[in-house]
Amino acid sequence: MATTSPIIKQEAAIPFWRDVRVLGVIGQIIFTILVVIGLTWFIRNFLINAENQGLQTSFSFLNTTAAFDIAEGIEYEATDTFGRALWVGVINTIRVSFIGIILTTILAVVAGIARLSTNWLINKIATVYIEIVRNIPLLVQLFFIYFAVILKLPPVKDSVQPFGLPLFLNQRGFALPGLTATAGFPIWLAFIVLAIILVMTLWTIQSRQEERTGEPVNKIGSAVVAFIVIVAIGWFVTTAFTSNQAIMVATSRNIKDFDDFEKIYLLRVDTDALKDLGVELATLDTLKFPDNIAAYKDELTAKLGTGEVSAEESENIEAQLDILGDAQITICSVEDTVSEINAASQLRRLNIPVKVSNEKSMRKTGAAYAAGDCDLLAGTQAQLAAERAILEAPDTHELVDVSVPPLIVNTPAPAGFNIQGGTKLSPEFAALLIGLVLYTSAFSAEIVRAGILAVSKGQTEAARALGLNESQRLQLIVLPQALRVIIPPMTSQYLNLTKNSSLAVAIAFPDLVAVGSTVQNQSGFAVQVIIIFMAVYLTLSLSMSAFLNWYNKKVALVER
Amino acid sequence: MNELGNDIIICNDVHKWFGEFHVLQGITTTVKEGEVVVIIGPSGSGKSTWIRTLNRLEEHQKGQIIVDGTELNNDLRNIQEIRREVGMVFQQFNLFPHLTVLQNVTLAPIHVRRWSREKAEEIGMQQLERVKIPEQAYKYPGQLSGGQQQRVAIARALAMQPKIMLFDEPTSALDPEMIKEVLDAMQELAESGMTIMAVTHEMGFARGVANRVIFFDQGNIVEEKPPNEFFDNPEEERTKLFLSQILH
Ligand SMILES: Nc1ncnc2c1ncn2[C@@H]1O[C@H](COP(=O)(O)OP(=O)(O)O)[C@@H](O)[C@H]1O
Ligand SMILES: [Mg+2]
Repeated sequence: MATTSPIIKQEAAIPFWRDVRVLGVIGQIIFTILVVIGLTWFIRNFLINAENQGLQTSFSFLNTTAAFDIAEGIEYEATDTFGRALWVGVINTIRVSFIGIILTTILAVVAGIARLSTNWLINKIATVYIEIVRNIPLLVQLFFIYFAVILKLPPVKDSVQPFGLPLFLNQRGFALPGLTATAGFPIWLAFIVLAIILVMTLWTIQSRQEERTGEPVNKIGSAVVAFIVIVAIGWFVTTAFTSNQAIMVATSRNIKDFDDFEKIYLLRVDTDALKDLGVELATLDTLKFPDNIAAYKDELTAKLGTGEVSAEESENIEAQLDILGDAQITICSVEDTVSEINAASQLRRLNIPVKVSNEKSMRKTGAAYAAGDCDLLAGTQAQLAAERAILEAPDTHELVDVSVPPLIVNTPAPAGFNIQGGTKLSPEFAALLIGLVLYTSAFSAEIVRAGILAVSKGQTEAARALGLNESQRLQLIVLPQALRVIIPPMTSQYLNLTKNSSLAVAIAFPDLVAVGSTVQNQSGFAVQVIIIFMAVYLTLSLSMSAFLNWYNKKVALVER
Repeated sequence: MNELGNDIIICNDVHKWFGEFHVLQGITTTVKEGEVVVIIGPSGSGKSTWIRTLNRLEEHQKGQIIVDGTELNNDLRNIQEIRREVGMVFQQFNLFPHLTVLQNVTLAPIHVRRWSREKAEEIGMQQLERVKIPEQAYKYPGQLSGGQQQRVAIARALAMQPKIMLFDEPTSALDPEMIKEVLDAMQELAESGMTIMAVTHEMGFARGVANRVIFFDQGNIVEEKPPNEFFDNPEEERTKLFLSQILH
C-alpha cells in the first residue's frame, strides 16, 4: 500500500460527498426542488382562497366595457374595454420611459463631464444640481414640479415663449415643434435606403478607380451630392404621387389648391371699416398681400406694446386689430391628424391666418362643415368622399386633391385664446418626464463621471502626446472606453426610471399603474391587475436588459 | 555615428516645481538634429518630468524650451504644433485598448495630420513593418505580448512622421526576453537619423547607439559626455557612485 503513487490514489478515491462537481450538481437539484415546492404552495393557497372568497381567476373581465375616461394617450373612449384601457396605460408608460431614457442619457453625459470640468462655475453648478436632486425623494420633486412649477405657469393666452423660440409653456402644458410623418413617409424612407446603398456602391467603385489610377477622387463630395439628389427626388416623387389627402370646398369658391384661398382671405379684410377708422389710403393700398397684412398687424401690436400711445389712439389700434383679426380661413378637421396639420401649415406658409375648429371624429367634423362652420373640410380622400355623399346637396361641393410631403414640420402657433399645432405635452406628462429625467440623471451623471475617471491617466497622456485636442481625446479615446464601465450600472438606472414612472399615479398621469388602479377599483379583479403589472414591467425590464447586455458585449474589450 | 545638424531642442535654465518641491532645477542643454541622447540617473531624480516638459505633458514654470524652432508657452497652437513633431513612447505603452493595432497607429495621422485613411493606413503599415509586426495589424493590444505592444507604441509615434522621438524607460516594464526586440527597433530608428532622447538604463544601448549620455540627479544635469568617455572616465563623484551601483 505504501508503494502506490499518492497522486493516482487520490484521483481514484474521492468519495462523492467530497467531490466538488457532484456537490455542485446536488446543490442545484435541491435548490430547484425547494423553489418548485414553494411556488406550488403559494399558487395552491391562492387558488383555494380565491375559490372560498368567490374571486374569479379568469382574465375575461378584460373584454368588458371600462366606462371611465382616460385623459391622454392613444385613441380610447369610455365605451372601450378594460383591456384597451390598460393598453393605453402601457403605451403611456412606454412613451414617458422611452423619451425619459433618451433625455437622461444626454443630461447625464453633460452633467458628468461638467463635474470633471476644471472651470469652477460649470463644476459647481453640476455639483449643486447633483447633490440637491439626489437627496430629495422623487415623489416630493414630482409634486413640486407639478404643483409649484407647471400649474403656476401663466394661462394659455400669456404663454411663456423662451428666447422667442416656437415653444410655448403654460399651465395647460407645453407645445413644441414636432415632425409629423404622412402616408408617403415609408416610401420616402425607402428612397433614403436606396440612396445609402447607391452611395456605398459608388464609394467602392471610386476607391477601386483611385487604386487603379493612383489619382485621388473627391469621394466625399460625390457621395454627398449623390445622397442629396436621390433623397430630394424621393421627396418630390413621394409628395406628388403618394398623397391620399384632399380638402372639400364649396364648388362656387372655385378652389384649385391652397393658393386660391388668398383671394378669399383678402376679400375678408374689411378695408371700408379700416378707412372709417382713419387708416390712410396709401396704407390701405399695401394691404393687398397677406405678407403686408401680417407685417401691418405686427406693427400695430408693437405700437400698442410700447405704451407710448394715448388712450384714444390705443382704442383705435385695437379696433383695427379686431377688424384684421376677423379675416381668416377656417378649417374643419379631425384633431391631430395629418390632414389638419397639413392644411394649417400650408395656409400659414402663405401667411394666411387660420382658425382650426377640430373635433374628435370625422362624423362630427363633417357635421360642422355641413352646418357651414368652415371654409374647408380637410381629411383623406376616402373620408371626404364618404362625407360628401351624405351632404344634403353634394353637387354644390367638390373634392380637391392636395399633395402632402412625406414629413411635415408641425410648429405650434398662437391662435386667439389657444395654441394650435405642434406636439403638445400635458402638464402631467411634462411634470413626470422632467421629474424622472432630473432625478435619474443626477445618479447617472455620477456613473458617467466614474466611468471617465476609470480610463487611466496614461490614455490621456498618450492622446495628448499624439497631438489630439481635448474634444478628440474625449470622443475618440475616453468616452468609448468609459462606455464599457458605464453601461452596466446605467442599465439599472434606465430600469429604475421605467419602474419609477409608476409614481405617475401621484400626479394623475394615466400610466399603467394609474389606469390599472382604476380598472382594479371598477372591476374588482385585483389579483389579475397586479399580475398584469408584474408581467408588463418584467417584460419591459428584461427586454431592455437583454438589449443593453448585447450592446455591452459588442463594446467590450478584446483581451488575450 | 550620424551627421549632426542644427539645434532642434534648446533648454535654457528650465525650472519646475510640484507645489513646494523643486523638481527641475535650472536645466540648460541643447540637442542637435539626428543626435541620440541617453539619460540615466537615480529614480525620482526628475528624468521623466524633464522629458515630459519637452512636449508639454508637464508645464515648466521658469526658463525657456524651444523645440524645432517653436517656443513652448501657453499658446495652444505652439503646443499642438510641437506635439505633431514630437513622438513619445511610455514605460506602460499606453496603447488604446479599444482600437486595433492599425487603428492605434492611424488615429493621430487621420485626426491630427488630417491625412486620408488610405494614406494613413499605408504609412501605418510601413511603420508596423519597420518594427517587424505587420501581421498583428488587425489584432487588439490586449492580444499582444509586452514587447509587441511596445513596438506598436513606437510605430504609433512614428506614423505621425515626427522629427523627434522621446522614450521614457521603454523597456522597464518588459520581461527580459522581450527587451531586445524593442531595443533593436530603437537602434534601427537611431541609425535612420532620427533625433532621439531616451531615458533608459540599458547600458549596452547607451554605449552602442548614443552620441551622448546625460547623468541626471536631483533635478539637474550632473555630467554629459559621449558614451565611451562617460563610462570609462566619469568626472563627478555622483556619477561614479551611480555607475558602480548599476554596473556592479
Ligand atoms: N504630478 C506630480 N505631483 C507631485 N510630485 C510629482 C509628480 N510627478 C512626479 N513627482 C515627483 O517628482 C519627482 C521626480 O519624478 P520623476 O520625474 O518621475 O522621476 P524619475 O523619472 O527620474 O524617476 C519624484 O520625487 C516624484 O515623486
Ligand atoms: Mg521615470
